[in-house]
Amino acid sequence: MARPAPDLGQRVDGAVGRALYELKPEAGVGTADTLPLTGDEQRLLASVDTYLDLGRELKEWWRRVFPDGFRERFELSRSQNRPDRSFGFFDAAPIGGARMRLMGNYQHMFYDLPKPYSGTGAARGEWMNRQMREFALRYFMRVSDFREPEVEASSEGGQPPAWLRPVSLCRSRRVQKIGFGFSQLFYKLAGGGVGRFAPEQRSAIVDLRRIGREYEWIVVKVRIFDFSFSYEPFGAAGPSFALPLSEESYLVLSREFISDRAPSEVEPSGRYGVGYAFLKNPNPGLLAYGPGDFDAAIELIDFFVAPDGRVRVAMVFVANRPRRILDLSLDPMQWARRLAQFAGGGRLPEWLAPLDRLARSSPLGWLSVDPVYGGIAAANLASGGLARRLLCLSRRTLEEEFLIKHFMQHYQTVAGSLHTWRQVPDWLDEEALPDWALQGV
Amino acid sequence: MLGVSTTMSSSIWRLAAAPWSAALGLWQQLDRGAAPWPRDRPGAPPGDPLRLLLESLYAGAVAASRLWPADETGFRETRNKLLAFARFRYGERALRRADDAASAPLTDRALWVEEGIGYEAARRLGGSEVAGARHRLFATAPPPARVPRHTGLGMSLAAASLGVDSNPAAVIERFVARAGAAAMPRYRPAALESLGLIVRTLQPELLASYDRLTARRGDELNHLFWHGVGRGLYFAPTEIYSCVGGRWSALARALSEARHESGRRNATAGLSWALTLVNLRHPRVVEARLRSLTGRPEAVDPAAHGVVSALMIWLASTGDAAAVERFLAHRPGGDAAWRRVWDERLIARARSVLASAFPSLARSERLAELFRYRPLDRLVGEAAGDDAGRTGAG
Repeated sequence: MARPAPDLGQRVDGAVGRALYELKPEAGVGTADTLPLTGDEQRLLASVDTYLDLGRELKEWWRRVFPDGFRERFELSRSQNRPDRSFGFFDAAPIGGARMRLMGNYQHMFYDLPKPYSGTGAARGEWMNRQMREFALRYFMRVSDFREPEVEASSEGGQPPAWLRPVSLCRSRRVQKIGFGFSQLFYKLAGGGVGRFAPEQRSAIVDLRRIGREYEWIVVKVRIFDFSFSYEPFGAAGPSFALPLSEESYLVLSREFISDRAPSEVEPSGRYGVGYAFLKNPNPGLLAYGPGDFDAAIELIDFFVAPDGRVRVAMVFVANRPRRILDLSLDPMQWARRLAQFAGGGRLPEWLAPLDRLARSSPLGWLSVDPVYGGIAAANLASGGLARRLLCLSRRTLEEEFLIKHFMQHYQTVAGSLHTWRQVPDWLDEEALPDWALQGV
Repeated sequence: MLGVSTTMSSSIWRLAAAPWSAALGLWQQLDRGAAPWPRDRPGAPPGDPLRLLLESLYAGAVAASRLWPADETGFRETRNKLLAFARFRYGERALRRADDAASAPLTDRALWVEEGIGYEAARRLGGSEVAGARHRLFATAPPPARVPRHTGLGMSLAAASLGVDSNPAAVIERFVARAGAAAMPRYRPAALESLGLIVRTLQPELLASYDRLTARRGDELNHLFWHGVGRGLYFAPTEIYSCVGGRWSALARALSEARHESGRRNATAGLSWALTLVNLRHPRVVEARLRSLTGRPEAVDPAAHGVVSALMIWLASTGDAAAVERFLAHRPGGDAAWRRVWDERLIARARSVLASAFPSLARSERLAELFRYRPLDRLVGEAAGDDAGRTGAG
């Protein structure tokens, strides 16, 4: 049966109603009287419960289908001489009360041999469990970003002005970071109050064992370093073009996503790990898919300590499949907001909050195009599908590319963390730990 | 830094708003006889765009009623609507200051402000916590405040559900789960009904989808949904001034937006309910709107249900029997056919239901059952049955 089209009165009522709703007087005030929040922060916190629920559903779905229940499973990568395995998958499941098309990947890799320890046998396994439990639950999120060796600036010559740099040979000091940079922003106490972490606390992510006991959840922001898309028209050895993307996302950690399980008779390997549900960025940009733009997504990183002390790590990523990649709005209000945002260095100044609210409720807000998927569809339509068969111009290729990118990013992060893990002989000896591990700086 | 930018934002708005606010203040001097506009309440921050808009619309209605006195009734309704909305939106903040608590009329505090308290409380707590806070927020509320607090709770949960998801099925799923967990069992219909109001306000284009999906979950939710749609329709932006002049367009829309009989009945009942509660002190306004029923005989019973239910909620929440009596004593002018409808099918039945069913419903805390249409005769019959049961049991 055809659905009746909304009449003009309904359209006007809807547009005005939404605009008035956005003009609600509490914008810019907090969810608690003592917690001043910006409009974006308010929207972010209001969405936490929703994305936690969606994350729980995704985790439960994963638990049911892993390892052989996926509708479509495919190889993601191959590694030489390393005991790693991984796969990607496509599937669909009822999530949030509606059918959601899903994709994701699983990667499992060897992490490390037992640390030097004077004991043997069971004692060594038990000691390694305690080491890894401390590292995974207390320090991993503080030390998951790494700085590569930094090039010193040229000893001769100065720093040329920006417009002359393209023709300059002077070396400039450049900080190259890899991995994930986590900072904690908000918390909700198990007793109910919502609060904000002080600036000096942000890098020292709380001991994850406190989540569930003292905190119901915490919201963290993750910056993904060294995240770029490269285009290599002549292969890896030829000239290429790389577009670095400054990606960041908000995450919520609650008890369900954290693993803290000692070895038992049933499960002889200890399991310790971090996991989170992704929150949608309250201030969407041009990208319509990726970190900060998932409709629902989770990541689980679990370290397994075998009885002999060997450590493996398994990583799970599940997210909705993209409906669009770019969101190129045709609404002048959105352009005005984005322009103001750009001028403000990525953040909209508080005094422009009314513009933000008007743009969000603009009746033309839905008017946008996706040149990526639109272009793929047009190319295939024009070529009768040849673009897909000959040039791999398809949605699926892009989705697989995204999963590979995700895979590599996490591989680098975990492999990088190994270096950190090995630097400290005893993670239980807090007195001897370096400041950067304690403070997360 | 945040404090500085917030202060800047507030100052800019205040500067921009000052001349306009002063002009509005002058206009409001023309309207000394009306219920006071809550413009001096601290809950409405100076320069707040919503407050400025509401004040402008209010001043526009005052000015228009001076220019076109023949339509004074219609402009009175506009003013009453805006006042009710302002009490709902800003009343809770006003109550935080003891010196302002006494300034709002008692009946307004009991209805719109309590609804605003339920809305704000649920909004601050967030989705998962509000269920746990059920007893503190709603169960410990005095019985007269429970119905409005639950409608506020439902509105907050519905708005939050719509705010984070565009899929109606997911919105309904989340809303029903949270409202079901947060509301006191006997007041659950009052919370669930608000979904219709919020959808009609924020996403009226999707009414058909919500109709289909709520119907899948059973008649009760669908009926409550359409009752809420009727209430929402009363506050629709396009209805702010459309009540001036001839036919009551909102009634025509209530009857056309629903695609089935039960939807039409419930939407009409919800619309009449909101009309009556907002304008109870001005029965002339209610009567003027309900005159449109003369061309819509099928809508008379549902409208009567809305009017009578509103009177009962008013009585239960405010205890202001004098205002109800004044309302019932109103005698319409005009043609005899309309006077007969008003006297026999609305007022006489209202008196009968208030005398027979209201005490029983109030005593057993079943007033939330009024949030969906049922024939009034059945309501009276059930109440009589309840009373007989109590007498027998006693």
